Amino acid sequence: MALKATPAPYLRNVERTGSRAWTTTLVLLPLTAFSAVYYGFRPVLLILSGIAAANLCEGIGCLLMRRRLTLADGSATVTGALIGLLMSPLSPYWLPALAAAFAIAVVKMPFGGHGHEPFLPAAAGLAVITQCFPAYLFTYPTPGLSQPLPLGSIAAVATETSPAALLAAGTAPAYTPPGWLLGQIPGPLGATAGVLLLACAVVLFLRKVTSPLITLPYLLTCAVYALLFSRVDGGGWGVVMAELCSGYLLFTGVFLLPASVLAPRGWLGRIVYGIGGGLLVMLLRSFGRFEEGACFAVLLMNAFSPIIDRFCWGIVYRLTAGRKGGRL
Amino acid sequence: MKQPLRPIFTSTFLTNNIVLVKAVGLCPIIAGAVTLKYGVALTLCTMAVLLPSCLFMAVLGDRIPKWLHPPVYTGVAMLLMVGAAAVVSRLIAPEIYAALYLFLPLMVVSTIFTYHAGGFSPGTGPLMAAVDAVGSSLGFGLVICLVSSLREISAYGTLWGMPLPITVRFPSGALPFAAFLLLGFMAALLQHIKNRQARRREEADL
Repeated sequence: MALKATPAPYLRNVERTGSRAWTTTLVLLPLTAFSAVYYGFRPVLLILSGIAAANLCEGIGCLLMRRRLTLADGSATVTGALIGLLMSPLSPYWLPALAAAFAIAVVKMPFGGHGHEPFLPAAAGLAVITQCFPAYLFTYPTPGLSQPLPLGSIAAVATETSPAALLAAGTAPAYTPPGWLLGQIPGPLGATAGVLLLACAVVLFLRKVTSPLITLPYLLTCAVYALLFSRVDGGGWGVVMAELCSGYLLFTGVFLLPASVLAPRGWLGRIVYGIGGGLLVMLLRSFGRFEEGACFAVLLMNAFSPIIDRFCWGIVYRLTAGRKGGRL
Repeated sequence: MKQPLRPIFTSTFLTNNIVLVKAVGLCPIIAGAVTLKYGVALTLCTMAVLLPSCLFMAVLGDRIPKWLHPPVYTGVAMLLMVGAAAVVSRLIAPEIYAALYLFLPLMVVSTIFTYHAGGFSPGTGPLMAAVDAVGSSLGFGLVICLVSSLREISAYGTLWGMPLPITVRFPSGALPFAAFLLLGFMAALLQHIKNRQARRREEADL
């Protein structure tokens, strides 16, 4: 038998990747519906624009590389949908398309398509538009249940300072816990409904698409950091809740950070990865240029993922070597 | 050790381009080269400093103990760079000097000098050292001019300070990450061309 020694990540084009991507897409549907309830049809168009651009770039990339079309594995659709869900409801329609095109055409296809990307394409696309167009990304409307946003010009829509921006300015946002959990706060399309995101996380854990060993340490680290180094005078549990539910911190923990191709494979590696991600997200919030820099944290952790995996693999092996039933 | 001169030039200039293949001298490209004018200024300064210091090391390198090489070539480069910077700031364009302020003196400790004045020149003939210095300066210049003009067009919609009929602007083209991306794709393109040529040569041999 010929064995091939390669560095992590080890999951490359396994037959289940397709079903994983489509499960994620299904899980993203309730989030889309939720944002449509709050903002009308505009969010759906934004998400569709991201998905269309991602699939278009993937198709062109496959044709250019003279490969079989890989649209059916759904990975491009997930990338487009993730990007679309992190837009502001007021973003212009070309913004998710641009981010998705960058994600697929620059970060994914040149490295060989799904399973070979060195960084999470959705996070990279988001990072680029965060750098280039922060004004379009961080201007949020007041969420209203019975007032759909206009599909065309959005000049007349009332905007509101987002809780992430308030926290960055050192003020405690005044929302009640139901407001936080049901998403009655200004923020990205699919990232404000805390309860829904947690439900998505449970579904993904049960279908083994993502690992709770990444998400839970990540959220715990964020919470502990928010408690210890509060950005608001006084601090307390209210501020911890605000930190966890504002911006797209929760969304990152559920969808972006544990994305299966790039996350470490070993259990200790996953925990370290989650803790590192949480620390970086909070550090970027405290000292970064933007009110939310979770996409940069994901990219940084992606870069460290193979090293973390190899290092932790060694530690676990040394701890459990010789013991029967030791789990790597 | 006698090497033909043309391969040395084409190697440092194109096939083993010092920036794209050896990843040398990245700092000025990523941080300094925002417009074509800056790119050309950095290229000229590099050439004005690299050529004499390579010649100096080619002639005197054998007579200086090896451990003394780095301080000597850095010192020579520093003296020359002071002159080049003075020429740029007094005679050519003070505004370019003001904009590049820190990056011109930083060029002295650029890895280009370590590689070429320190690594290649000592022990070779002055002619070879000169060809190597010119080739690497031009190779550096080729990349920095390409990157800086692309960034100038995308960020400001101008080229060499002249407005172009383009209305779309990407202000972040002037940020470092844009230069990293450009360099990555240029390096990949060069590698692709080289791979294809190598494959063709193999097929021709068969």
